[in-house]
Amino acid sequence: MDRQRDQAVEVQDLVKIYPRPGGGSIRALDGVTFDVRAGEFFGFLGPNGAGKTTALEIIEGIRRPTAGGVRVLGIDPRRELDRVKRLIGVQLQADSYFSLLTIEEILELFGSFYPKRRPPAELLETVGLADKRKAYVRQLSGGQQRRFSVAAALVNDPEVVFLDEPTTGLDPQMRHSLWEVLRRLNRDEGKTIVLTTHYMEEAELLAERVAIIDHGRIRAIDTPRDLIARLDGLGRIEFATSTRVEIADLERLDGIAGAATRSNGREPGTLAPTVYELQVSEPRAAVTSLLSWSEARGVDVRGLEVVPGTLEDVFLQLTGREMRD
Amino acid sequence: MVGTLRMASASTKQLLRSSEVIATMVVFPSALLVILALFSDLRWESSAGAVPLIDFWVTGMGVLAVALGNGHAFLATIANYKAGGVLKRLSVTPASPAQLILGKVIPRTVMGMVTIIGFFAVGRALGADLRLEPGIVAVVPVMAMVTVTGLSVAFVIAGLTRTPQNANALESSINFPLYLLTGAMFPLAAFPGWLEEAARFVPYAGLIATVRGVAVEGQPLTDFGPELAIAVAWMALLFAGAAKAYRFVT
Repeated sequence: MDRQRDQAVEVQDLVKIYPRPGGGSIRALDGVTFDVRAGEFFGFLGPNGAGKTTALEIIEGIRRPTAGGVRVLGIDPRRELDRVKRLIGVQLQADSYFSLLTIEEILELFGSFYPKRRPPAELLETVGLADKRKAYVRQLSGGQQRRFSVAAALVNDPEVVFLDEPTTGLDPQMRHSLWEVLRRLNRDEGKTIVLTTHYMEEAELLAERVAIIDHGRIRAIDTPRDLIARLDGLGRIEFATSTRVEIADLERLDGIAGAATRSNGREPGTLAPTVYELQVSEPRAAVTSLLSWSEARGVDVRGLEVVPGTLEDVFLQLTGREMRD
Repeated sequence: MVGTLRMASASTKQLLRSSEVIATMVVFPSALLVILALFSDLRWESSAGAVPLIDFWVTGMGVLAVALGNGHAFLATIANYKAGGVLKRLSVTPASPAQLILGKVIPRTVMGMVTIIGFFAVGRALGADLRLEPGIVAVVPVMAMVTVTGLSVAFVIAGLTRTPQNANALESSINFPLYLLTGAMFPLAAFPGWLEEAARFVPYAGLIATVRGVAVEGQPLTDFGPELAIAVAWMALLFAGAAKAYRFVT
C-alpha cells in the first residue's frame, strides 16, 4: 500500500474471522477498504455488531486482522505498534480507569507514557471538566465520563483520534455538548477524527465523510450530502387523510417514486385519518401534483409535511432494513 | 523509566487511599499476632531440642503474612483491572505490562518491608526471642524478594484467568497447599525425608529459612546461599511469567 501524504488512515481489504463458540466461524469484517484524509472528520456508521469496533481496534493495533493491511500515518501497526501508539489517541467503547486516582492524576499518569504530552489542566479545560479535576471517575456523570475519555484520548496531543461510540447512552443535551467539543478539536486544532456511531444524526452533523458498514462490509462511503443525493427518492412527503386513497393512484403522481401507509393498524378510509408516506424524486413536482390531485378528487389532505432525505433513508436503501439499536 | 516511576507513584497513592492498606498492614498481621500470643508458651520438640513455638511462628507467619496478605489483596485488584477494562485502556498507550507490574510492585515491596519490621517488633514484645540488632536489616532485601515473588504469582494467576472469581479460586487452590510446605508453620525437618528435600524447592521455603536464620539465630545472609539461589530463581521465573501471562489484550 503506497502512502499518500495527505492520508491519515489507509485500510485495505481487511478481513477478520472469529471462531464461533460451539464451532464454525464469524466473519466480522469482510474485505473492508477505506481511507481517512489528514484533518478529516470521518464517521463510521452502522448498527451494533456491524464490525465498526473490530475495524477500529485493528487499526489501533489491539487486534490482529485475519487478512488485509492497515497504515496509520503511513506506519503499519503490526510492525511498529509503539510508534503508532505514540501518534494516535484512542477512546474505547467502554473505557475504564484506575478507580482511586483523580481524573487529573490519571491524565498525568497517562501522559507520562508518551514523549509528547499536553498538560492535564489544559485537557480538562478543553472538555469542560476543569472544575472536576480532583474528582474520581466514578464521581462524574455519564456525560462527564465520556468527556473525560475524550480528554484522555488527547493526552499525547495525537495526530489522529479514534472515538468508538463516544455519545452512546448520553441524553440529547450531553450529546450536543460533546459534539461541540469534537467539532472544536477537528476545526480549531486540526485533529483527524475517526468516529464510530450508530446515531444517524451524529454522523450527519459531524462527519465530512461517512462509511456505512453492515455485516462486516462497507456499503457506501461519501459525504452525508452526496450519500443522501444518491437516494432514488429525495426525501419524503407525509400527509394524513380520512378519505380512502389508492396507493397506486399516489404512485402515478409526478415526482413521486413510491407510496406507503402508516395506518397504525387502522384500515385506510375509516374515520380515523391514515398517514401516507410518499418517496419523492422531484419535491416541487411532487407537492404540486399531490395538491392538484387532492383538489380534483376531493381528498382531505391534512398535516402535509415535506421531510428531507436522511442517512437513515440511505441506510435503509443500502441494506434493505432499518438500523438496529 | 518516567512512566514506570509515575506508575509507582500512582500505585502508592491508590494504595494509601484504599482500605486495603489497613487490612494488609494492620488487621491481618495483628490477627495473626494475637493468635501467636495465645500459643506463646508452646514448644516444638525435635531432634535438635525444644524450640519455642512463638519464635518459629513469628518468623514463618510474618513472611506469610506479607506474602499472603499482599498477594491476595493485590490479586483482586489486578484481576479487576483485566476484567474491568483498565488493561485494555492501557493497551492503546505505549505502556508495557512490565512497566505496570514494576509500578505496582515497588510500593507494595516497601509496604511489605514495613509490615515485617512492625510484625517482628510486636512479636518480640509478645515474647518471641528475635534479634532486632543492626543485623536484622539483612531481612529487608529478603522480604523484598518475598513481596516480588508473591505479587508475581498474583500476576501469573490474573493473567491465566478471565474473571476475579476464577483468579481467587485458582489462587486458593495453588497457594494454600503450598504454604503448608514452606516451613512457615511446621519445621521441614518434621517432614518425611523425600518431602523435606522437595519442600526446599517450594517458593518461599528458602526465604522463610533465611529470615528465621537471620532473625532468630543471628546468622549472616551468606549462610543461606543455596536457599537464596532457589528463591532468586523462583522470583526471576515468576516475574518473567507474570510479564508474559498478564498481557494487556486477550
